[in-house]
Amino acid sequence: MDKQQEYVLRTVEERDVRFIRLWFTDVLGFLKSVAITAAELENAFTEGIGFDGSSIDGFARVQEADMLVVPDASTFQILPWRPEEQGVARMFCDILTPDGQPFAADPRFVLKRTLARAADLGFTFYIHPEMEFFLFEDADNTTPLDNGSYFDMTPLDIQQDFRRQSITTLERMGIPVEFSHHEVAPSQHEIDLRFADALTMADNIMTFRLVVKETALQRGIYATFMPKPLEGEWGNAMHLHLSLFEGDTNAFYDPSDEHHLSVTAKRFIAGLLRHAREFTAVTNQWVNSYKRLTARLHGPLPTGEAPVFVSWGASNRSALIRVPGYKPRKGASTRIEYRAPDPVCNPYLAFAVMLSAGLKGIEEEYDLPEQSGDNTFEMTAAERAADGLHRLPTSLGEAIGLMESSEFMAETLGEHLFAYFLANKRQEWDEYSAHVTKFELDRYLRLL
Amino acid sequence: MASRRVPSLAVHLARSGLDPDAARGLLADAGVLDGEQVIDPDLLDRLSEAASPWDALTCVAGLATHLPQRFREVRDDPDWLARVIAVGGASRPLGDLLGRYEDAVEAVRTLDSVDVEVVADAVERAVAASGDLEEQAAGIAAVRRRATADIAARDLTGVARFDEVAGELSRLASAVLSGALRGVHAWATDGAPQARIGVIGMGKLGGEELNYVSDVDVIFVHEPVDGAGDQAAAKEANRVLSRLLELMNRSTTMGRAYEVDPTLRPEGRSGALSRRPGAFVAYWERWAKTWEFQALLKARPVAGDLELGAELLAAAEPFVWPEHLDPDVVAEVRGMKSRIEAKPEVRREGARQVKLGPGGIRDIEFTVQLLQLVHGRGDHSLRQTGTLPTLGALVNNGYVDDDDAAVFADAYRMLRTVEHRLQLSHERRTHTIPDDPDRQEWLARSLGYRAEADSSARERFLAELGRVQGRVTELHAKLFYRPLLEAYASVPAAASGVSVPGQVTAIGDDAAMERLRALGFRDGAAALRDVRAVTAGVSRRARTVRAVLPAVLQVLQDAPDPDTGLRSFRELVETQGDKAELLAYLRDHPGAADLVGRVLGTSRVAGELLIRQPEGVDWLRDERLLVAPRTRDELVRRAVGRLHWQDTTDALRRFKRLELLRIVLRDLAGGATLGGVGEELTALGEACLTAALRAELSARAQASGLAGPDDLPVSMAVIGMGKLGGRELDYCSDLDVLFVHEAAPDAEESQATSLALEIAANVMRSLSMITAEGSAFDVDADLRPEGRSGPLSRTLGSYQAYWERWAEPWEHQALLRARPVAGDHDLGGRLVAVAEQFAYPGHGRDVAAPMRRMKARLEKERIPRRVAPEQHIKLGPGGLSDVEWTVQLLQQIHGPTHIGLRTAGTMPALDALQDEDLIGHQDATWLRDGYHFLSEVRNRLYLLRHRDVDVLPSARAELEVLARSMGYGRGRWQEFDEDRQRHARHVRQVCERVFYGIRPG
Repeated sequence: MDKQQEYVLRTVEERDVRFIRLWFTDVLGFLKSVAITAAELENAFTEGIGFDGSSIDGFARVQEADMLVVPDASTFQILPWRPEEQGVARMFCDILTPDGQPFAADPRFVLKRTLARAADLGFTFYIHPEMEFFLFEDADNTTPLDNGSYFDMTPLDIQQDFRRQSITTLERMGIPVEFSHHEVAPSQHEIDLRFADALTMADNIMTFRLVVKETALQRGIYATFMPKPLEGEWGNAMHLHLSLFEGDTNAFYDPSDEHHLSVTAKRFIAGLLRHAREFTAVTNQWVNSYKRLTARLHGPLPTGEAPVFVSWGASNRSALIRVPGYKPRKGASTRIEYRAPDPVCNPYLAFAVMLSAGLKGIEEEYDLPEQSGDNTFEMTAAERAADGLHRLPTSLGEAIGLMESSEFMAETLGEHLFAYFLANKRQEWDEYSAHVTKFELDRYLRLL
Repeated sequence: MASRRVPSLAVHLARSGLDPDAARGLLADAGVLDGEQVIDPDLLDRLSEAASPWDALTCVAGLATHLPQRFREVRDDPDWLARVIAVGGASRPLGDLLGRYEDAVEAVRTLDSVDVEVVADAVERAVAASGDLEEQAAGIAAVRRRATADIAARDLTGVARFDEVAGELSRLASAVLSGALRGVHAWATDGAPQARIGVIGMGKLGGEELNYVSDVDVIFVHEPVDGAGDQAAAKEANRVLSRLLELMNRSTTMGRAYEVDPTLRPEGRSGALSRRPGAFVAYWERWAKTWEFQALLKARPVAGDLELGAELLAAAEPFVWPEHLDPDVVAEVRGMKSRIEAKPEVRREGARQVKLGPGGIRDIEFTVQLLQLVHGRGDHSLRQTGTLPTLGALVNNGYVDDDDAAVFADAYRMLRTVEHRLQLSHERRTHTIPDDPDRQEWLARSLGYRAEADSSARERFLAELGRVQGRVTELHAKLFYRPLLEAYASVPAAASGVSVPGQVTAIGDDAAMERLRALGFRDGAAALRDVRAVTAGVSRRARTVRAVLPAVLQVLQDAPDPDTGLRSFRELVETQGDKAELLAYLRDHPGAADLVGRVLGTSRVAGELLIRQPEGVDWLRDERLLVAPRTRDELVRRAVGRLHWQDTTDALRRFKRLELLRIVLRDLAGGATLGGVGEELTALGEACLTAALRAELSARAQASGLAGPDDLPVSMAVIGMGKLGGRELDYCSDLDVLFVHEAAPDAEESQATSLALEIAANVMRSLSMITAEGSAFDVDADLRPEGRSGPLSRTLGSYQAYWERWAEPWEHQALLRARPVAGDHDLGGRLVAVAEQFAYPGHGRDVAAPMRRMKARLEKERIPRRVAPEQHIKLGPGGLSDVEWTVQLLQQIHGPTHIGLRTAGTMPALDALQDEDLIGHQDATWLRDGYHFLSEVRNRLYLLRHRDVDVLPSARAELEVLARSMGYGRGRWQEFDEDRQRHARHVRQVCERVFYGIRPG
């Protein structure tokens, strides 16, 4: 029993916590929970709690699917939306096999493993995400709240209240928030979480998604992180600001460089660029994700909202990786912004693959290509080819194909998780491909 | 007048172990120095003898300063002075105490042991003396520390031995708890208590072997007094005990009384502080874990209502000593120990950790406790709480050898004393010897070591410590084995390497069985039967076995299957009969004993082979045989040689089994590569075919009254196909063959043919037929033209005609592996030359399409329904046939133009393809690595006697055994599975692209 575990046990007793939710994540990033009583907590720390892994997506691999859940005492939080007297708390957990080994396909372990690689090189990995979501009346239709008079309060008030309540809940759970505001599309919001190390941030994102949904539920509305629910409006992105630290120093910072980027930063960016197409299936894992990652390149007015080409730039809003052009006051805030992911990826896996790509760039000393200008959408295909600008996958099907042939991805995720993820996504793509969409009926029924 | 050179003051002080500059002031205070003159040389000498002269001086100087009257009294009493100096020099905090408090220095005046009644009363009074928590706690702490100084004084001056010291420290704790409890109970209830409260000591307190600075582990029990209500009693108990804990644990200006830890109670921290006996029983019945019962081994009533305590322990007995010992309990206990030892802190400190490190206190306590757990159910005399008394009881009843127990007990005392000194030094809980040489020197001196001519106190101490720890490590495993071996000796004999007890020690069956289970054998009863069978008796063989068995048992513990290994070992010994050579060899060559254990504990097949052919055991003695493979020619010579004096069928079977054993031993001993095993097995197959054919031809010649086989009207050759042709047989392969014959120039065709058919049939039978000796090889001739409906042997012309006109594409493909393996070499060569034309058809023939169709069909139809394709090693995606067919397709396509590709073996062909740049380097590497990995898996499955060697086990336990036999560490089966999946993925990718031509995307 270490100090943190003892602290948790003491707190549970002092605050009269009756139930503890043991949280973990399946391969697709859905939150799972095993509930125990306070009496079982000590045992949970020393031996783990057994459960049947065959009910969890991606876990069962051999005949016996028994697994152990072991809570991480450092993630202990009381859930603030439960009554205080009969407190309920939660901890994130690691999944172990019955003989006490970390389960190879536990997404949290995959991230930890990658972080350990970074640590071997002397780096810690920090992330600051911008989380976007929509608020709708309910889960059955996409009527934004802005357009209806729903309560006596103006719709704007409801939504401001909502953000305020969410943020309060988050802060009470130890997740500090940096900004929040109404986003571009009607009824769309953004809440930015303050910088934290990758493992904590992945846990935070899992919590965040739950908090936002719970808060909406309590207010009788519906929150969704779906990447592109409204055609013709902007979708939900999850821009990620990344940096590597060596001890207390920001490893990306070099004052003598024109962009303030160190050699490490450039190699990291190069790593992300080179492998982006291989890992997009993980950072953007749903069919709908690619409805956001689109651009109308062939019509009269080329436009796009989200990055579509694998490029980087200093102030380039269309770049996949943006390096802020302003001069930061201190080197500590040097970071790069990766703009493709959406908020419904599995954060553990997404962070793991991004970090892994960056580390590969550092270890193998990739060269950083030229930065791209602001007009990628307006260039012709030939110009883009000349500049070496590749396209991110345009569909889940394409993304799957690119991931399938990637040794890098198999290595980072581990064979079992890699195989399971691909199989699951292939099935999803198959089902989607068989589906006849409204677009097709509208356009072709009369015509053909 | 003798003039003697008086040493200068500085030198004198330095020699006494004091810093001349720093010490002057204190020495003056203590009346040793007056200016530059040493006026009390005796005191100076005594100070220099202390473990830390400086600390001792500080203490004495303090005494002189604060309690001058006392100081003078102490100075005048040499024994008292000696005790003060000893304590001061060993413990700064206690030295400080002695220097300031009259009661404390008074306490070390006499040799009397601590009077527990007096202590308890003093503590009770301290509680009553004030209403303030802080003052009460300080009062208690003061009493406790005084008494500790008393004990330490007698400890450090050698008056009390370890056993007494530990006992006194325990009694002191009990007294403090008693007095405090009395006081608090009175305070809480104003004299009208509702509850009886008892305190049970656990851990070291329960075992009466407390440390100077320990956690004091306790459990509380209560019962309402007659007429009182349950609720009221519970509330009172809770109030009293909470207060008691506060008083004990509080850090005050006078120190802390004890760190009392009540978390061994039911439900640990979440559980009520105190329960009624009935509630304990309910908990034990339903929820308690193994370790909780193990902890109760040490339980003893120590304070409060002792009767109530005894009642509780009586109720606990059936749980602590159940009717049947669950074998998992022992495994769990062992598991807990390994987990603690694996902790990084413990690892880092290594042997300096005298409690948890190797050869440390834990090893001793654990061994004793395990023996107690295992044998205490039947033998009540073992139900003691203390380590040393339990050890004594174990000796008395023959569970442990006298000499061994003595070594253990001495080691325990020494290590505990080291622990005591470490803790006294700053009155802190520690078990680790400091890294710093000066501190180590201090420690050595406090233990009584002094520098001698060639070594410092520190060096002598560390050497002794190392020796002790080494013996503990050695012993704590052997303590399990020795009595097992002596069990059935009627007269203990002086066998080499095994110490002999003073009297006959025989432990009962149950005891021995349980001990074996503790070592990892699943079936204790069967294991005992095996041990008994091999060690019984007074013969030289029995004695030698007893000498060898411990080493073998050690190795078996870590082997994948200890039970089978032990069984095999027993059978092996029995087949030796009276011959002692093997056993003597094993005894004298630990490496060989190791190998035997490993082999037998890993492969049932190896065990069976070894037992059936005891003569094969010779290979264990000749290392050369394990290092170098036998060539084909050598094997043929041996095979043929046997035929001369044995009936053919039996001879072939015995020959094959013997050679197979040798190959298996080489494999398990790590002397062979995968390719090597394949080649050797192929050579063995060829030798058997050659011998069988020769025998048959000779028999025919003889039967026809001819001079020799050369005079027969027909000559024959055997062509190897499949894996035999490819020189890559594995343990479970058949011999795929084709027979070809040629009539002698002046012989009659039909006569030659019918003779050839008979000979072919007999050769097959002589190898495949199952007799009392089993079968040699399964010979399969179904690849011949027309399959099973076709004649067993044909002429060259007949083969050619068939291949030209009627053969299917896959039959041509099979010819890629044709190679002459026995019989008339020239004839065989000519047939293979003909076959080559069809194997490598040249341009204009589309070989790919039919091959692809065939393979796709095989993949779909040939995998048994109940098997998931991914689990099928041969036919599944990324399996062995993916590699073989990919290589074969490329051979057929490019073979016509690249002669170098025309080889029968899969790996050599792949090498050739890579050399000629006909396949990408990465593709070739992936195919090669995948092939090697899966072939090895198949071989291992065979050696483990797995039913179906083509299918991967899916149960975790089986995967674990397989992974370990492939060289992965314990618990690394996930790694093994990941590697396998990666190989399969790589191989399948290459196969899809190169064989099937599926373009990615």
